[in-house]
Amino acid sequence: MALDPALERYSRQILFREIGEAGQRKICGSRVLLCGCGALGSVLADGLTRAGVGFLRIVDRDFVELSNLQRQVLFDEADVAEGLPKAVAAGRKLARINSQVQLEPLVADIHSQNILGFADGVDLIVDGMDNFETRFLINDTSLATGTPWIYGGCIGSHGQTMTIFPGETACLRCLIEAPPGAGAAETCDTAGILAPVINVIASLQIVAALKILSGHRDQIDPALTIVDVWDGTLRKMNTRNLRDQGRCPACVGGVREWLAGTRGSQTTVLCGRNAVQVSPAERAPVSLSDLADKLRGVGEVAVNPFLLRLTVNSGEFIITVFPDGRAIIKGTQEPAVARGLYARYVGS
Amino acid sequence: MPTVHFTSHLKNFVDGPLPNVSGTTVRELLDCVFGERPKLRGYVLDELGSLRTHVVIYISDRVMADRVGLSDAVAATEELYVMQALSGG
Ligand SMILES: [Zn+2]
Repeated sequence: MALDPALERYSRQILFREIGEAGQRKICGSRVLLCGCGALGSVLADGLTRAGVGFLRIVDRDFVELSNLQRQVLFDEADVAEGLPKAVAAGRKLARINSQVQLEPLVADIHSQNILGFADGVDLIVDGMDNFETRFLINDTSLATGTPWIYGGCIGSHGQTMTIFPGETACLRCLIEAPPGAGAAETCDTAGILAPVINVIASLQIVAALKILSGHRDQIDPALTIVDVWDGTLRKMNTRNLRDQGRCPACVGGVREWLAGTRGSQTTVLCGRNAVQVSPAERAPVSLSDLADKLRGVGEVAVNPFLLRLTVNSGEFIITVFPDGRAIIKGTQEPAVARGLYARYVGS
Repeated sequence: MPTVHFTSHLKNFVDGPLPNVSGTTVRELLDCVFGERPKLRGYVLDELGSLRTHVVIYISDRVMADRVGLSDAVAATEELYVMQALSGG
């Protein structure tokens, strides 16, 4: 039987028995929200577009920079020169890759007030974020709307991924109750990142997405997969007993603090100062000297017992961090830019 | 004796080979490792000695339940696996 010409471009994927023509039709009719289009996000967007999802909404708050090109595979030097938002640059590339996919690139900062709109009418949420805060918000949104989501995170040569079916499997808060306090964990901008681990984790996320979208969600193990590309290791940690412990405030207790906006960072534009104050979600004391150690390779760092001052991008931004985790980001009046810088250098 | 492993990212704080550990609870086993590694301890436990919220400990195939007292029993043949959720991407 000849293949439907509209599906011809997917013939190799259709030959893969578990997908088949029926699975491909389901993929072509599916709607996906991709949160974040950085390193993981650009691999995810590329993979989902080539695989032929019907509709892909891509939300990202950031602009393409030169230091992104080492791993953010959708972007090139022309995007840096044009100063394009990542969502826009991604949308342009993806439209050339597969014109059958309905793309909706959105330049926006995902927060508790807008995420339900972004998640409206999608079958799946895929995580390409770079911070815990948005992931807890995605987790709440998944639970509130009954939409599955696929977590992925990476640092250094190390990465992990887990698929969450709300109400059925462990959720992100079953695994970790709260994000680390400001400065307590590393970010790709403080600890570095190898591009290959991004590709491995995003690829595992895409496989999980294809299983869900082609009607094979039963073939996803309840597990957290942990990869290290430097060691060449992959481990699957069982998450079956996690939800059963019954102590998760989100999926067992029904609490949606992140979606309600009662948890999460707050930003205040400091009028006339070209600055934004970011107050972190987790109020915990920050060791300024430890944070200074992490940031020395990143930019110019000055520290005293009262504050830490980090200058990045040749003086374009000055980030002043206080011992309570609060920071004033000078050089912008945009909360989204300030939150992005905070996530990168202090961690959120 | 049980074995203790840290995910590769936490190994940055381990500094050299891990000692042989002995004990029957998570707390006892970790104390063997943390003795001369205050930085690693600070990364895994908070000031009160509870597990930090973004750190997870597996005992073989199950997640440690007592995040405050670290009193979960560990059999001699089991492995302790200490990992943290990652934020980057
Ligand atoms: Zn949960």
